[in-house]
Amino acid sequence: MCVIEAQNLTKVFKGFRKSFTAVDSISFRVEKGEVFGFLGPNAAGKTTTIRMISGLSRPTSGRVSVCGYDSILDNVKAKKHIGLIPETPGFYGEMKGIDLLCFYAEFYSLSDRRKKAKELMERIGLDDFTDKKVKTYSHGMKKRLALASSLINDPEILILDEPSTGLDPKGISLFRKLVKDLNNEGVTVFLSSHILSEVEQMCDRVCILNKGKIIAVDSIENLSKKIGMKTQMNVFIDAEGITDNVLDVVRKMSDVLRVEKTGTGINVVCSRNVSPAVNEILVRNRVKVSSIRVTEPSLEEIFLKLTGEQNES
Amino acid sequence: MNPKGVFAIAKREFFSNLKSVRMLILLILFALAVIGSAYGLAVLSTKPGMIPNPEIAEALSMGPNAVLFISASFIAFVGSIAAISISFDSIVKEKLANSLDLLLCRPLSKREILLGKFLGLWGALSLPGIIMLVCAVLSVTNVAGMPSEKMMFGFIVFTVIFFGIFISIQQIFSTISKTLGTAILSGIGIWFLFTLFWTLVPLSIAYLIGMPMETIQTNPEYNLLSSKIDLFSPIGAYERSLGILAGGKGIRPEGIPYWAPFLSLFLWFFIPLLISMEVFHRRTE
Repeated sequence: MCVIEAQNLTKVFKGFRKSFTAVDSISFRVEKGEVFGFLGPNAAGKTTTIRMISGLSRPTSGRVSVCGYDSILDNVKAKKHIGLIPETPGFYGEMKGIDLLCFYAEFYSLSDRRKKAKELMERIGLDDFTDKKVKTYSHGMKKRLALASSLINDPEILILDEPSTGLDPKGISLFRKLVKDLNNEGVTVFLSSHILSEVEQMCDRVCILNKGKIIAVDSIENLSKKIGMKTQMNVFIDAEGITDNVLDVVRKMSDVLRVEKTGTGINVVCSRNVSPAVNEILVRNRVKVSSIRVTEPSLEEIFLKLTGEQNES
Repeated sequence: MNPKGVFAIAKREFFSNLKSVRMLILLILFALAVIGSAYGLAVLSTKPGMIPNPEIAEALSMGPNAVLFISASFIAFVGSIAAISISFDSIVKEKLANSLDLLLCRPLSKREILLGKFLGLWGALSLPGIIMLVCAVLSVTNVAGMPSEKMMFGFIVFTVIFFGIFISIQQIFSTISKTLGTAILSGIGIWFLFTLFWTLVPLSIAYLIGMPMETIQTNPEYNLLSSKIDLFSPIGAYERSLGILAGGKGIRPEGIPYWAPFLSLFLWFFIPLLISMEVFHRRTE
């Protein structure tokens, strides 16, 4: 079941002299229960897309629906299903953490707002700070408070815009765990980030955006396979007794691009995984193989390859 | 429509403004302008010999209604500043602090968000305002006698409406502004336009169309022109509406239908409010 569907979504910012197309006719679907990564370099159009999905901004053309509701025509209904954490959330500093959550809860028809707010404060680990003013919170605490405020309506979709910005490693880890737990509870997560490792760790599928255009939407595995055909793979072999003759045999294998000697063995650079065949040759030539390690292209390589190709074109 | 959401925003805005330092400063200004002017004018109305200006002396001698009418000029002067100063940053501050997005993603329309903010600001200014206005009426009653019921009603209700007008106008500029500085400057500009510059508009037009400037104040044609032009200013509409209720020569506007100032005040209240909602809706894209 699809919970977010964007069709030819376009946003053009009209300036005094010239216009700027931030998002250029993008289409994608986010399925219920998945963690969907929205990846792209700075100024790729990620935040603009999020603003259109959340109903904060009107698309210049195209449409986006959230749980079946058009984000513009049924704006209010669509927003009931969303929890949004902006990149740099701002709060009313003079309010206490718990009062702020109660304030946001007032927008939804919740029966026991204070109880719900307390539960959320506990969940995000701020139960000791419920009665402290928000202006006394650290940046990480404010991010967690933003997460709590986005969960006040038990949303079906959680939209996170660069959630790790400004967080320390411990904060990032805690934040990711909270998001993962929510996803396990059935919440669909739409995660926008330019941190590749974050997307790689958390997302089921990734949409790569560059200069307002989608350049790939797929699972990381499928993207690796697709890009792997065009890119290089490294087979690191730790072995003793590799002679030049053996190296020549390996070099002449199909799909092997080059062979490099390393301190402990060789690195076979190839266009597909040739490790079983190389292992066979080495064993046949009485080479003592202690380990074989294959590195496939990481999301970073996929990303750089795809965005690089688009930039060249 | 999400009335709970509108109420939530209004409530937050109301209490945060009511407890602010700027409200404390405004209360002092209010006390001086509203109670001080009403009491002072009431005392002077009982001692006309102390007034050097014969026109004001004549007007004040007309009784407590006239006292309230003249004190409304002071209230317009300070009330417009008060409305501007509590609302100039209502939107721009939230934009700069990034707190607006967390409001905009809630299930209510942008127009409702602005309406909530307007109601909160209006309430925050009107509550102390009404207390001051009631004190002003009581002090006039104590010194110069009781004004008519409709004048007391108009004095309080029209003043509260007057606050709302300036809050709406300032909210338009707060939405458009990208910095607090621009918002403050636009507020000063609005205040300057309607309190000081507007009085020059009928004079300039009279000069341009060739009215004799030597006898301008006693020229009935000029008075008619001035009454009409005043309807295009919120301060003019407010003062002329009170003038209709107060009655008396020189106070009641001449040459215009009695309903015109009321209609103008009504339009001045709703049109800027609707514009501010529309501007907010479009500008938060």
